[in-house]
Amino acid sequence: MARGKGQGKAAASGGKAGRGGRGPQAAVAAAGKQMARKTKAAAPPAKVPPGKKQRTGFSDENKRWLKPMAAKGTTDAPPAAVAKRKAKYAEEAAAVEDDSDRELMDDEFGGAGDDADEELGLDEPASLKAEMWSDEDSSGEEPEAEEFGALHAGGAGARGAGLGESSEEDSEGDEDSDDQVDGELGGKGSSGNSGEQEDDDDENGGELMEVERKAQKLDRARAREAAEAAAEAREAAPAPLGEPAEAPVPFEVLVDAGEGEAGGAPDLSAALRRIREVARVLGNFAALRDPGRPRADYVEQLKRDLMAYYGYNRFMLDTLLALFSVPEALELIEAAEGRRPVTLRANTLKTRRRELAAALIARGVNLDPVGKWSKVGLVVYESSVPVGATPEYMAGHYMLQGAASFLPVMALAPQEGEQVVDMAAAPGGKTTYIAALMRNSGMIFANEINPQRLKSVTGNLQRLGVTNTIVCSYDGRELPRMLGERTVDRVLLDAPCSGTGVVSKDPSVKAGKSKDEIWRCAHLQKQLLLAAIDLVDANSKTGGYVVYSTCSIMVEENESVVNYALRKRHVKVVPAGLEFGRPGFTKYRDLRFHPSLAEARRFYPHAHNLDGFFVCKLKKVANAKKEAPSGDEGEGKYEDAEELAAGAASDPNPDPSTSARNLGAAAAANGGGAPMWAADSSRARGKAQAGAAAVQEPSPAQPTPGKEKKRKSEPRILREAKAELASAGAVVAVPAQRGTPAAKRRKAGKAPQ
Amino acid sequence: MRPLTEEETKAVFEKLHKFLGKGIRHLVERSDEDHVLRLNRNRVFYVRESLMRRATNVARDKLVHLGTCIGKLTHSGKFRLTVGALDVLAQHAKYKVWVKPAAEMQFLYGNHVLKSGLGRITEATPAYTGVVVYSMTDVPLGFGVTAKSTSDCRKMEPSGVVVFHQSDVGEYLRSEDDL
Repeated sequence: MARGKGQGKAAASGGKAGRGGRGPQAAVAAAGKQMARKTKAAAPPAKVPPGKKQRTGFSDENKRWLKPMAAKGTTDAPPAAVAKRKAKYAEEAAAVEDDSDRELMDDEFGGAGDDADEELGLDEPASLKAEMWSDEDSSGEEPEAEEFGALHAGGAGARGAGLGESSEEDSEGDEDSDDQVDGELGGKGSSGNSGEQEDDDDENGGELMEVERKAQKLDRARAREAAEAAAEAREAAPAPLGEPAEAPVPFEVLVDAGEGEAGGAPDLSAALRRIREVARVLGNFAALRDPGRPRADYVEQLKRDLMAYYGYNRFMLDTLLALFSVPEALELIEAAEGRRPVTLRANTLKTRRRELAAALIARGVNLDPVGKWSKVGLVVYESSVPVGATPEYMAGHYMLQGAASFLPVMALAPQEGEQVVDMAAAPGGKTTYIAALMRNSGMIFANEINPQRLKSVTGNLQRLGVTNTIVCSYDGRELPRMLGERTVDRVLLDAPCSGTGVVSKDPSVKAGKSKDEIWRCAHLQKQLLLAAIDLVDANSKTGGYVVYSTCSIMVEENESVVNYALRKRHVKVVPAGLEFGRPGFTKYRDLRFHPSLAEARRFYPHAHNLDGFFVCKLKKVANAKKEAPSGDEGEGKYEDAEELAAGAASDPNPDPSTSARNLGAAAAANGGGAPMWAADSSRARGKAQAGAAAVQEPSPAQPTPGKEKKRKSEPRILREAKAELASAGAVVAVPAQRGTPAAKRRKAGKAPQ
Repeated sequence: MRPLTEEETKAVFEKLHKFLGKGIRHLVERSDEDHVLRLNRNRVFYVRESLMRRATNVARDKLVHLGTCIGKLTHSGKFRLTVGALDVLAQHAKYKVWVKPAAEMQFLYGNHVLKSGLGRITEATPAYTGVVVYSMTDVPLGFGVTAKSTSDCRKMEPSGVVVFHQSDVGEYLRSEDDL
């Protein structure tokens, strides 16, 4: 009894150590080591149930199966078959654990620790029991006990807990209660012995007691269930494993091309069924496909069904399937149908989260802190009063705000006393959060172009007691001209976007977006981002940051825009300071982005239970602007036109060499009217051509792209013009500095004096 | 954005005097930074001087809001306090009234405060002065004008009006457009 208890405790501590470490393998290894220790320590068993033959230690009969259960690196190497099965189950356990639900498991089914205890309690006595119950000479017992252990550790908490519970029941059922541990041993050790058990019975000629036989039957049933559950889990797991769960099935459900369109309402339940089937086939295509059908057919069918069932248009589906694997795309679509939880942000200018939570709970709101990542967020589960109309709301103690909207402001991290610009402020949630972080010091410029939404900005600012904000109504691209370039410390640009990440708020996004619209959004966003960067002072003592965020998941609106800014200004991407979120893309389809874009963060409804979001933090490194390298084909043409139009220089003379270069380069690219991303893709080619083009450049000292501070294009244009004039005999004074009157005149586009 | 004229400034300070009495000093002479009053499109803003200077960059027709909006000037030059002034008033209020939880919502709907809803009132409040209305948890709810002095309030019947409603935080929901 005492020994049993001691083992139990040691098992428990070993279990915790093993679990805290690296999961099933570590747990198994820990258990193995302990068992090896125990089996060697316990020489003659203290108690032997009456009627059993007494065997000691590793007799010849036991040698085959009685081996220490360490996973690797032990003296007695397990047989090859055992090792292979062990590996397979460990891998499966690892795959199941790698599921993104893992944290959920650990929190909700906090009994994972108990499971580990159970598992070790089971592994360790198994061999002891085998010692005592020498009749059970099963070869497969140990690996199956291991399998049990692996399943315990790696399986879903519910499964493990269920099994744990049933083992406890088992021990109660056993009437061999001299030693409670022995009873447990009897239960667990015999679990998983299916075929071998009968042999043992025959061998010993009925030495097993009636109860024990029943117990073994129960264990066999349980093991069967466990195996089935494991098979189910494998089937449901997103990533298909090496060995297929079942034999390949010919796929007959595939529908011909014309069916869905031929009149009548689409059969939604059939569509849903087909979606699942096709997804399953695509997950294990080699094995489950219908040999007559190419993969494209399956994908096409899937798209058609998704369009019918969820209401997306083809463009959106193409994009989603390009961004994600098929199972994940389905998860995203499913999650986007539902709503994200209602969240609110405590206004730290007027209250504290704890007091606010207490006050709201007193009113009848069921809420919780939103997570460890935020100190001011609360999530509302349910409420008997309208959350947006409580006296606390009216007094400005909190603001209803989506949790994803906290993230750009957390990334921005404004300091007290700084000057901050919020370029697209409506309805004012982020602006008020910035003000709360700055504690009403410094200055905030909240800009919103849409006059109807301005009311909400001012209303929220007043309600939440913000006093350091100026609200204006400009087009964001004009802000550098109005406020002055290089005058503020931080800028937040929560750009107007297509809204593909917040489908739950606006379902029309599913069918209403086309490639053109995305392109137009991206164009506007690029201009806004350049304006934002121009506003910031790179030499600011405390700042120099721009945060670009959108509520969209499209790469064209996110990474592409930031990549454009990286090329046009001296900025670099820095870590956003957010602990969670997926990294941004560095390559997508045929586009290649700067590798630092992996520091940007993406958020999805199915992965983080937040609205689809993108956040990227940029640090301005130098105040100058980059000149477009000559290899910038179609992009270069757009950019030069933008820079000229934005008033950076109103030089009316198109430089012949510039336009020639652009035309030549554009011809080299995929045509002059190529969309932005195609231009991005041919950057590599363009750079090679830049070298060739540079040779033909008449301008002196073309700087190597990306290495030096670039001059503005105007001086070069005008310098060339002056060179022409000089060659014609006129005397021209070439001013060296930028701030001089002559330079100012040049900027204004007037003729040089 | 322009500074206020003499008459306008007088109108504003007269109104504030009703609520703050001598406490107007605190608005004008502040320890941290000088605050000024500016007018933009009939709205009077109370704002830090540095913020005001930076706001001169913004064009007059594009400037919407500045610092704290404390009230509006009517055509005839009269000044009316709006709910945005509540924070400023609540900081330096001379006379305060606390309402019971049951009567909170009534006041927030825009009704007057009745005697039955009156929780506490500052001692020696004269009649027809400006008061700030708080909930029992010391959250400012709005402001108004007393109907009776404190001693008279004690003698009133329960359905009598104690405080005439002028402005409350419920306006953020009811009349967001008028702010």
